[in-house]
Amino acid sequence: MDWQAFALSLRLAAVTTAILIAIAVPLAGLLVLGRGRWLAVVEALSTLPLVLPPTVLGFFLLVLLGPRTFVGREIAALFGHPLAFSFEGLVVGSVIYSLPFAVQPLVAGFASVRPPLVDAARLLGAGPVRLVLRLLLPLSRRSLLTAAVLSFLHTVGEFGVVLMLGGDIPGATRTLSIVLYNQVENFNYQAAMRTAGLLIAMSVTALAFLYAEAQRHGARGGRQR
Amino acid sequence: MIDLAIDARRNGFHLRVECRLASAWTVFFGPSGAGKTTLLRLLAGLDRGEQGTALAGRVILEGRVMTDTAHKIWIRPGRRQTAFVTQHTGLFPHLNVEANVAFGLHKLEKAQRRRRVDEMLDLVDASELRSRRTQELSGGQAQRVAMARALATGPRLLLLDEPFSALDGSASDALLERLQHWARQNDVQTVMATHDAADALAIGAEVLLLREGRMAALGPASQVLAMERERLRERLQIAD
Amino acid sequence: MNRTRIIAALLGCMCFAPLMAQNSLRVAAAADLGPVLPPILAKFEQATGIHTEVTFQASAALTTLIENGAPFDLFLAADLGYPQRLLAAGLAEAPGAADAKQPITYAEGTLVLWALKGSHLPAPSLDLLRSPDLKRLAIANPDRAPYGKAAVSALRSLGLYEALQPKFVTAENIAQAAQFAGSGNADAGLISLTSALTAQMSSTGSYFVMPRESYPPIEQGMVVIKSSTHKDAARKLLDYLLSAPVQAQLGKSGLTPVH
Repeated sequence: MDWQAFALSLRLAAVTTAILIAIAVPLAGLLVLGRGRWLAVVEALSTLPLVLPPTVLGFFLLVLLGPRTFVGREIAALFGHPLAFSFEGLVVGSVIYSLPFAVQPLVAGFASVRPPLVDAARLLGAGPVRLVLRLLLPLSRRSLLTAAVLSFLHTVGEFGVVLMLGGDIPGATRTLSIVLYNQVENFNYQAAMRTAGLLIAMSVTALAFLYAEAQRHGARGGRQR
Repeated sequence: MIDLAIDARRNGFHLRVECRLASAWTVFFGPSGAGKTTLLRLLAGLDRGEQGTALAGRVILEGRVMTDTAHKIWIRPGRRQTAFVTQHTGLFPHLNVEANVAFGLHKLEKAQRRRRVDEMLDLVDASELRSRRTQELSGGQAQRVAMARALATGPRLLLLDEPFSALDGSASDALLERLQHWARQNDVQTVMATHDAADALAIGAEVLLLREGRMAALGPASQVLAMERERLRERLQIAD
Repeated sequence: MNRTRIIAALLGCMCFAPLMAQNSLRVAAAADLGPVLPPILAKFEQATGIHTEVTFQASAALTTLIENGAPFDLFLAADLGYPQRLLAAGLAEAPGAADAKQPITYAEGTLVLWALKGSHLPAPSLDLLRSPDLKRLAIANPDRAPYGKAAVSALRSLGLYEALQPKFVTAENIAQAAQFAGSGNADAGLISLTSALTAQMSSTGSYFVMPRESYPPIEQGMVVIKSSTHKDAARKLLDYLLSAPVQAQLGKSGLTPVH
């Protein structure tokens, strides 16, 4: 069992999830509280990765953000190396790829907060930041948990993007899903079964935890007067 | 002092009101559906003309322009120094009573905030409720806490939308009296919407009579509600 | 009742349609043949009227597909090992070969070092491999890609493996290795001569042929798939690929002819 790859997958998922929550909370706030037709475009863009083939995303990151383009060179200057074949590159790819899994649950949660509460908070002087942090987020704890768990799991299972720009570097880009792929491609089916088993176990555990939490809070519901 | 000139359309309902409200206490009176809540929400800045509402007009509070569609001015609700209490108390379920009342006071220092909360809870006679969770409150208690929360920020204008529906007669009378006293003391203009003539007459306010989105009359309660007053008298006599 | 029967019949036809439509010859070809094969196959169709469909992937991936029943007729690998594996498993045959247990060698591959023009690094050469400024070297996966294995052999025999191994970025196949180097994300790549000679690569970079003696010959072998229903057509293509003019063509494209 490649524990280095296991640790790398966990680290990638954790870092990606943290960044995603930091991006998705304000983005969801904007989508729910904002006005204007351009919001539909923003929402479409944030949902786009769901239908984007990972190979397209990988290509985009590899070529369009590679050292032959201006943007790519700036990024390389920022990180000290090009995005491809690096942990940072995988994080960027994962954040884009799992964005909808973080944004959608939060938007649903925020939108379910009853309008009289939002009105009351606005009248008491709350601007958008206070509205999101002190009203919408505390009343959407379950959505936040869902967003975090889904982003985490989606990143653990990520493969297409990693294959496109990972370079299979142990400790940096050789994630557990790449290990599984290598094992299958090298006809090492026994090891592949074990790796697949570990991946499945991780997913089931995380989802079971999520649903257990959901059940626990279900009774308390959040009765709003 | 409120200057208003509003033309709002939504789903076939057309609200057109233009007037100046100068008294300390004004009552919007009319049957349900007449446009009282819509008008209050426009004053508060809660509606800007979305979801199919076409809005045109101006709202000026104490000489400051709050809404002006012609010049694309719209001051958001939190900056209008306006409080709004409705039948749906809108108490925040994740905070206790004390935290609810303190919600609008985040700019104050801790000690000041505490004092204000004490003061407000005292005003509505709800001091013993300070640590309770909102889910544990009765309808009347929740209404009083909502009042305390709205007044805590020191508004210049107080808007009430049938706020006493959850309270029984004597409790609402008591609260109303305290409110009137407080408003007088703090020089706060109050606008109350109600379809209960007795309340309107009791306060002795100026009444804006609303019918089907139009201002049918504006004047002292005794005049505007003369008909209603007669009807009430007759009903009470019959009961005798 | 009638309508259900009609729908069922239509669905049934749709299921059978693919089987009926397989009049083309299905070829599984290694990634390094990507630039090379299409024009040859076009000429083949002109000459014989046999239409071909090619799938280009890593030899290892194609072997897995064939082992799992993918309906290919002919397999052109980038080495001898993968076709041998299929022969041993009884899934393929090497018709007309001197030794029926061995795949038929159709060409030999050449390993080159390629880099983008205009970088601050030395031009492709052993000096480039020795340069400390070389930070990332793209190679095809040495565990399973024939050119990857050759690359590792070459570096080992040149005494450069220890120094360069930490700088490897591993690609799935030769085409992806070329992509890594071609996009500038890797400073250089050990790829096939066939890739280096494509218009895209030759216009944007330059290459250096790795010393022939530093790695075992990349003998590329082909086999006919046993379950094929077009064995005659497959043999025709096989013979065509071994014919003198085609071998000369392969030579121009970066593969060394076997005759």
